[in-house]
Amino acid sequence: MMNHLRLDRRRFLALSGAAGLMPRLSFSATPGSTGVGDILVCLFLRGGLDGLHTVVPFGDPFYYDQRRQLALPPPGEAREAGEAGGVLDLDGFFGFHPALQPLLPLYEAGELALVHAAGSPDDTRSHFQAQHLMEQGDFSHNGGLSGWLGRHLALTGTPGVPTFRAVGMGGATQRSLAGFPAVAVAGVEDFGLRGPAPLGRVLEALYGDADPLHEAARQALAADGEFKAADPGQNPPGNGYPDSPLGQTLAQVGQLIRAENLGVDVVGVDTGGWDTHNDQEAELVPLLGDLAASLAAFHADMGERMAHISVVVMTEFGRRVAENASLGTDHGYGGLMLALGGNVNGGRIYADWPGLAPGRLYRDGDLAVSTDYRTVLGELVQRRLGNSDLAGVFPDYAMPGFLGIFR
Amino acid sequence: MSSIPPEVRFLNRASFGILPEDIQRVERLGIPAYLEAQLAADAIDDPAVEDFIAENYPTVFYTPLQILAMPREERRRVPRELKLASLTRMIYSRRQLHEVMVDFWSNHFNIFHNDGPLRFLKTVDDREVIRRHALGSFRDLLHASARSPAMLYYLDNHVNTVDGPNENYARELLELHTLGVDGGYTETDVRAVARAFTGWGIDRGRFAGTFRFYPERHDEGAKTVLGLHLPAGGGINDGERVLDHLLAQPATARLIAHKLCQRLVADAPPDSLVSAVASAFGPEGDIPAMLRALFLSPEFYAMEDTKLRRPLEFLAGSLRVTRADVQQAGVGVMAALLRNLGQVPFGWPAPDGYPDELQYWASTSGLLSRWNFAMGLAGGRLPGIRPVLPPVDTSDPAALVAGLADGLLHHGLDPAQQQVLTRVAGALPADRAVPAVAGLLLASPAFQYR
Repeated sequence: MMNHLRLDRRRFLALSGAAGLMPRLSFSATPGSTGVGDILVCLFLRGGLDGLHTVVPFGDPFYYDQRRQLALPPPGEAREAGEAGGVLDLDGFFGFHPALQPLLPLYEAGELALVHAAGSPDDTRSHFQAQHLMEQGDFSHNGGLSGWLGRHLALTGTPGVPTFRAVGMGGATQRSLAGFPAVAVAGVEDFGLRGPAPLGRVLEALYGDADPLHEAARQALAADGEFKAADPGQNPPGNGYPDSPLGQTLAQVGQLIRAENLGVDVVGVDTGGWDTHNDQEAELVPLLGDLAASLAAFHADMGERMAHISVVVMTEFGRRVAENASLGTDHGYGGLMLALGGNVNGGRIYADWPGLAPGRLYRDGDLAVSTDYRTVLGELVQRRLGNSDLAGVFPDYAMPGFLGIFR
Repeated sequence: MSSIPPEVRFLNRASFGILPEDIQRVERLGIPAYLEAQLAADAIDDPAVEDFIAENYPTVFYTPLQILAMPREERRRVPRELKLASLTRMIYSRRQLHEVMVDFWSNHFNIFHNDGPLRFLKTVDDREVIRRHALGSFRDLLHASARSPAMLYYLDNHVNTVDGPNENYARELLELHTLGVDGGYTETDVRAVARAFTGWGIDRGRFAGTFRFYPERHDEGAKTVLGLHLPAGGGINDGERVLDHLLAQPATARLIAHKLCQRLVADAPPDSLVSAVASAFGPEGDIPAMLRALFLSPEFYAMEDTKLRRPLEFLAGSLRVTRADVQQAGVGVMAALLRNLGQVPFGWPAPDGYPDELQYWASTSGLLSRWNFAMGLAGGRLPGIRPVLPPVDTSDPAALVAGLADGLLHHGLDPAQQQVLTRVAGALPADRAVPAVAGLLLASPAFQYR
């Protein structure tokens, strides 16, 4: 209910602000019927996370065959005397990389779910093409320019209402948001127009009604004004975030969400560095540690709000099953997704495990994809974002049954 | 919007930004003669820019073997230098129409830069395919592109073999490079085209990084492509004949004409103009003839002036019209703007090239970024970027505004805009009024369009 109240007020503010309408209208919009639900934070790990080194299939004997140098020992065993123990057992078959320790309580509390061998229908090994297609979420050869989140947002509301309904953290908005006027926020401290106060009024006058950019300019100036009024920077960021780009970005996402007047619904967040061709363990330990600590800090920061927040973590592809000669892994296929939130059926690994036996691998040595990532996101969209028009969001996908990841 | 003189309209589309000497020259020669001079780009001397590039970005002239010979760490320079050389030419080159067309063909034959060997191969493609033929014939361009190692790699034709056909290049060749998605081909044609190009690959030996036809990988069976029969045993000629057959289809001329008009005239160009440009395509795809048909048509001058400057054009244009001097620190500012606005050179991953419609680029944060950049540039506040604003009469606010509009836009403002800016100028001391008004002009709609 708290969420509904929040939405009512937000909708009221947006409507009354945009068109000077009476509050009556805002109450006629029934939350849910407009397809609005949880706040979504969509975190994209750019570079191709090695799911096999993150949620480790220690119960698959071929894992140790394929990764003679890189494999992490089973739970309780140390690779060498004096080293920390092996992976953190999750279900007797999979285990967390030890650096994910901060996520273990969330997993055990049932708020964190893992989807293994998940991925895209397109098997390109190009990072950018894989990201592009995945974020577009339309694999028909002539898919338009919109992204899956942009389509979801457009189907469930009026473009740009409220101005900050869709936010992309960073200098530019994520491709997944294309098709809906999303606002890029590089930092809560320096968002907006730089210049003396009259600058906005002058620009408004320059971009007259008849100008094709009039609406975009109006939105930009509204965003500037609303942001300065809501001043999300005034709420100090939550405690415990790592002092890393990801940690600080999620701290800012927390600030934006707490500035309820902004009406943030969907936030795109990126974090890079996952392309671990060389010396993977040395690269992943700090990255995974940062990811886990940042997500845990966000969870703690949001507290009761997590009942109405869903976080999904995705990456463009997994990595080759066999390690390479430089103690790293090359681009592969099947990957890993995470879902975190108060309405996640967590404490489980959702995997129709394809197996790592040589004959079970995809192409020349990749983990196969047994769960199309759209199945996970489709369930999220319908169950948590209140939008059942899945054909509108993923136009060329015949959605199979849901996995039950979300309540 | 105030009416735009034809010379200004022409230069706004045939260049990245207008300098006073450009407009004077067009006025002296007339548009047709100026256009001919720009079409003969090879005859335009531009030592200042070319010497600068040779000195600062020498790898744009390297062969694949020279690049391969570089130490691994050094090679990082290669993609960076290509991007910077491209920007440098857009901003400062005297062969402005050539640069406009280089950008056009770089998108038509899009190759994504940031993926494995494409970081190096694109340098060769840019020089030997796109730049060499940008104002030549489409036939030469198409054939050169089909043999370009960068294209072969980008669209997987280097692994297209008789034993393992890969249709990626074939499909994009039909859909994007020639006929267009509604160009009347079938899936059977796609498969046949893919078979025709089996064996077109990249040398890995003595001539590493150059085109090589591998006869043993070629599918020597007979094929039929859009009614063209290719008898068995055609070898490399299969692919060559397919290219020429595609070139001869009216759908190809139509696609190129439409794209040119969309780039240079309007998001939704008039059909009559597209037809006129397509008629000029001729048997070889005569690029200058198409550009003459376009730039000398009445429709070109009759359209609304709302063709958006995309981010690259906004950046290059604003630096050009302010004669900006960009130092090392300024490179980072340019790169950040292009990243934020989403148009890094050669940075579009999909083969269809950057979108060319206002709707795609008109974003909230995009406008805020443009405005901050414009105000910062004119105010001299961007690190490493020093502008030179046009000299103006500062004694009277209205004259100041008119002078800056003339110097930066080369046309008058509509009365409402003139009034708004005059008020700004009147409220500030002259030394602050000039950068403020110049910044607002670059931030105004007039400068967002070409």
